[in-house]
Amino acid sequence: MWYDIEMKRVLSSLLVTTMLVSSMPAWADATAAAVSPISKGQTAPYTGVLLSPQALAQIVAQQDTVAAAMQLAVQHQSNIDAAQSQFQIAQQATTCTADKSDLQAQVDDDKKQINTLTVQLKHNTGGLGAPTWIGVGVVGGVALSVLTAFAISKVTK
Amino acid sequence: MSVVWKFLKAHWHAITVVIVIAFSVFWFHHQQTGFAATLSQLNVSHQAEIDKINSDKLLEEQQHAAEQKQLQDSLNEIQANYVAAQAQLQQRQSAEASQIVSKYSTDPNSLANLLASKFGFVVTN
Repeated sequence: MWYDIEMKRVLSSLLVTTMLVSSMPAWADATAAAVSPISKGQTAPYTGVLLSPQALAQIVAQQDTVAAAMQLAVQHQSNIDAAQSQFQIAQQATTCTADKSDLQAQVDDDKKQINTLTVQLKHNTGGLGAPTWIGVGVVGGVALSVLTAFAISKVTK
Repeated sequence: MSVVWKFLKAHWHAITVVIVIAFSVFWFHHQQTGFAATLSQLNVSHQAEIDKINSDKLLEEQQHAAEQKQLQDSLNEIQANYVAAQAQLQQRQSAEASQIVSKYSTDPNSLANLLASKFGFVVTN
């Protein structure tokens, strides 16, 4: 029967040890992300940081509005990007319009030059003009008169 | 008549040369006038082109300046809206914090539960 008593001692020791070990986390595990309500004068269950209700309320309020703040920042940057993109597009459009107008002016000038030079070319290669024929007529008439007079003078000599 | 005839007979070479020279001068003057007119037309056309390009350049610069101003106005408006929204958000935060304080300042258990629910903490006593 002595071993029954010994077994009871062993079991009791094991039971007490198990209870002591398992009761340790009941003091609150300071390594876990824990929060403990505490009243004035009460002993703190672990070393940590005590927040006033105002500080805690501020943290909670910031947490509640962080999504809105983030959305606000994203929207703000998006608006800036949109405005700058619109500015770039407007500038490019203005430059393109000016370039197009410049090129059209050059084309118009080229057409005018072609017309002018074509007229000049026709004038120079299209035969003799009226002033030329007048000059030729005058010279021819004078020459013919001189030759006629010369011939008459030869005949009447 | 005989005097004229004698003169012509004696100087017909010179008279012919004078006539040919006169005709040549007339001819070259006529050609020169034509070329000058052509060059004048080309110059007028080219000047019109230059004026058009300068006008377009001026207009482009004015439009660019207007667009720059419009961009600056837009950015100013965006910044003002952002500042106003931030102030509104800050006001909302302050109101919520005040509400929490007035509601839970004497109830640490509810405060602890509120904090735990927001951040996933474990409430321990």
